[in-house]
Amino acid sequence: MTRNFLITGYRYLKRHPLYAFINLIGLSIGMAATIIILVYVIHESSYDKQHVDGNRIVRLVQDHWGVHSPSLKYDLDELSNIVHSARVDHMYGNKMSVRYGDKLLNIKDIIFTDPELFSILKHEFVAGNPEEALKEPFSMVLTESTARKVFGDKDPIGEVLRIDNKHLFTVTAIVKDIRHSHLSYNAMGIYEDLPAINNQPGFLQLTGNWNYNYYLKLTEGVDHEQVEQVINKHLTGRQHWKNGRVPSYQLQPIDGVYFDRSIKHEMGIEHGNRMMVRVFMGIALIILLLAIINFINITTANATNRAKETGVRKVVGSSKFALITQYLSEAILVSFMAMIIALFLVELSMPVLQHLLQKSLVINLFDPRILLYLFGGAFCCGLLAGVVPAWMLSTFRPVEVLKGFTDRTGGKGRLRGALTVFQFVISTALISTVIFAYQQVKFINNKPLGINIDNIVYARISPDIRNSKQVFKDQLLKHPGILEVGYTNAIPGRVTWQEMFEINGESRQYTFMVTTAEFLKMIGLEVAEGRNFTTSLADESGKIIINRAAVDYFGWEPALGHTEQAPYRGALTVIGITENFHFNDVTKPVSPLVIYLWDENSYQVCLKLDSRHTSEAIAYLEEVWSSYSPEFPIEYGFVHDAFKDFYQEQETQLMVFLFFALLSIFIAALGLYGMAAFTVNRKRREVSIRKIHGAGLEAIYLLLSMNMLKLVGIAMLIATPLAWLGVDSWLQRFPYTIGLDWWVFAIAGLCSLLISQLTITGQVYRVARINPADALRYE
Amino acid sequence: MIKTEKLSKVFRTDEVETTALNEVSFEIKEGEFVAIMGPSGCGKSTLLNIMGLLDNPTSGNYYFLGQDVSKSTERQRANLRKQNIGFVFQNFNLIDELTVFENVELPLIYLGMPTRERKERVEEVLTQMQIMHRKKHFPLQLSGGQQQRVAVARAVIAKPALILADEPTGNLDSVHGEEVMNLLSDLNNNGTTIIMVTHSQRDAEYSQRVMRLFDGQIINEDIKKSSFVMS
Repeated sequence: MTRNFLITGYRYLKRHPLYAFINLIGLSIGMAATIIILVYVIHESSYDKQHVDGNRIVRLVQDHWGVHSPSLKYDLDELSNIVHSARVDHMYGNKMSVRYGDKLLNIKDIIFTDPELFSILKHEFVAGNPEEALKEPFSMVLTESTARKVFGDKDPIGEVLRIDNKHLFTVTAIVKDIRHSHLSYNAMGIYEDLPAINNQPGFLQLTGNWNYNYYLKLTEGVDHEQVEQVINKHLTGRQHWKNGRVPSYQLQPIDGVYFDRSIKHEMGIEHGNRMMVRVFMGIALIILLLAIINFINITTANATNRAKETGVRKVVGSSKFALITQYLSEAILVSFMAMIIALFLVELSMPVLQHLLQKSLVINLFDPRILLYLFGGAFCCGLLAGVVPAWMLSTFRPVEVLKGFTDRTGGKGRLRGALTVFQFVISTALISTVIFAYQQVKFINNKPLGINIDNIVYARISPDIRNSKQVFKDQLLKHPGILEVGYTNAIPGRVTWQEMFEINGESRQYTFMVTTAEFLKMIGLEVAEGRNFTTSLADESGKIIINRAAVDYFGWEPALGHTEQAPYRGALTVIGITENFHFNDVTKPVSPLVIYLWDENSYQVCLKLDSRHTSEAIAYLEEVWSSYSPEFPIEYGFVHDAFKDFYQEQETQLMVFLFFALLSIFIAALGLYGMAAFTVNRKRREVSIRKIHGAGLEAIYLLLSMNMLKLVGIAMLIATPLAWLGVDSWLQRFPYTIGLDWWVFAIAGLCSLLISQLTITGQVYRVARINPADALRYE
Repeated sequence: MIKTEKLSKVFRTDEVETTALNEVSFEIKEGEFVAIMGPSGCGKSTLLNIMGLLDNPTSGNYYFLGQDVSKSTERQRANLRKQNIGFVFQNFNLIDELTVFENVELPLIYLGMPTRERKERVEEVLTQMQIMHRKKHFPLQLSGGQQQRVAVARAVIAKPALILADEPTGNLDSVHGEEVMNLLSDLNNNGTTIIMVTHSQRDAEYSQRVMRLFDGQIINEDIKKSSFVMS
């Protein structure tokens, strides 16, 4: 019997290509989009899930701080609830020059950590072992791909690398590349080698210098809150908490780090966007729902074509159950076929999405378990899509349908109308949301920063150049294409240094911008009150400039001229106040900023270039750089690009959102086209009778499109408040937003109207041109 | 085989009530060939549908094979139908997506007959109906006469005791019409009861009895000699 069902279903699809095309293509696009989004969601959800005893592994945070002092470990190690603790130094990505024989290259993301990290986070050793890997001083563990980059096919164990033209490291182990981790790194050195590397003998005893991530493994079954209390009690009077205040350390579960963006100051942590994941899941659901609705709409609209078959089957003995089974198996067959097409579409579109999302999304279609899930999903889709049409078809009465009275789908017609309205609601809401999202992203991208960063190139100077900054600068200024040269620690867009004042017994955290007066001049920073820094450093020690946000936050009256004691820095006096300008994420409010001149700590060289000679100036920079620092390959960037990351995330979200929104609209339009084809066909007789009685093309067009217009109108009424609510809640995330203009909703409505009219016009024209005699004869 | 007592069928819409059958009582014995005649709208097809268990009467009793089926459920009617009744329609009602073979095979599938047995049976009937050579064709590739022969083959494949034919020659020319009538006549000669609705006096002459309906009532019955049918 099943064979007979499937044969009938297959031949029916073959005989009705439009029906088959719309159902198959709609479903397969819906499935493909859903699969891709699910792969993305699974990828995002898999971060930090790989560790053994994951529930016992935590990151240590304190208020908004995700990094701590070097000496904290020794205090923590006194606690019995903490089995292992490891510091991770991931400062500024730790890009270092690595020489091996003739080969010289920069390696990014080198961390310095305690050997206990191997007992906390999972590392798969390809060579060497965790016990010995970071035992001897100046040992180094590489990831597989880094080892391949440096050594090719050669065995790296025991080989010696010269790093930053200074220190010799011995490769002791190779681990598999770090994936699905909020902390990514390519090489590991020993944390306790840092005093020697940085030439800072007392480094390990520092209680300031909060720059290091801490990972802890707790004893089994212990309550996190209880450990937090123990830690806070233990650290009161120690470290930064010597004045009797109680710290508020918290333990953050390792698998919660990736999505938690509430920690303001952290180093080297990659974050996911939980909202994006949720929005995409919603979109996946919507797209699939639209495709299923198409299937239901078109199959029920087309049911009259199957009425005779249903009648005959009933007459020759089919039960209602057998008929439902038949039509359900057909829907499942279509769903399976759609899944096969969907898998091809996924394979085709995956590279584009990987590029867009900058994620290595992978789906292994040869994994039987994944195939089982996919086809299980297809089975469920088929059931969902097929159940309404199957039930409807099975209720046809043979007596009526065999006589040709097949149009007894009034109730289902209302259902189709409701489902079409639903599709238009989604389309209209998506169109207006996309327009608003586009406006908002453009608004943020074009928002003036308050400083001028055009044509400024920056590069982190090597230890060689640090000793000859002035000579290097003078040499660079000889090129006519280089207008200004200055040093800074903080590059706008990447100002990460955080410090705090103790004001009235409370910690007030602020961003600490360490720079030079020449750099401030280069970016055109102006003060609103007081004075700017001068280039003569002798006059400026202990002076700071703060922004308006800092004035409000610190609450000093008056702020200008106020002197405050800063831990580790002594007395700082406010000499100037600037208006708020964007020095970091443009999508967030400007935070309190303290600008401090510190020439020795300004390791980034910045060059203001003449836009007419950019490439020559850069070539000159490379040439001068290699003459001063042959062991450190130059890596430079434009300051403008430092802001790109912030725009990038928004733009990627917009692009992906736009892509899936267009897909949803396409699916809805496809369904509408199919619906229109069948509706118009059903009206052939009516159109013919009207034509005989003198109806013109316009009248017929109006007759046939009126119903659609009504549905679009209802959809607009529902979609507008929905989109308004959605966009309004999305805009709440931004401190600077566009307004919700009414005309965007009007445009979205017009677009929906246009789409609906475009899809039905051809059909209407076709039926309006038929010869009435032909249509009536068929009746 | 069939007995009705005051069988009525009333169709109701929101404002209109139409009586299609008005207290019709009659009996048809096993092996009979009965023609039902009457003008359009007199209730012929309604009566055929009720006899074929495709519809329930509004009132009265209908006994099929001695069993009162006037209030049976859809499932009971479907069971009785597939085991005992074959249908032939004016417009053939073949499934366009199935081949000749598959169309004829359909009732046996619903009877749950094994594949091999089904194949033998279908081929036997197709040979008998002289359309074996067309078994792989689809209905739309056949002439009207051939389609109706396929429909008759489908009607007889499950060896039903009763065949109901609703204007079986209505869509055929006289040559093909005669072929189909001869087929039905042969089946009757082999013991199958046949009830046929027709407008054609010529076709009615193949039957042994003609029931005439008018406004939902039987107005007279002509009984013929069986030898007439054979001539």
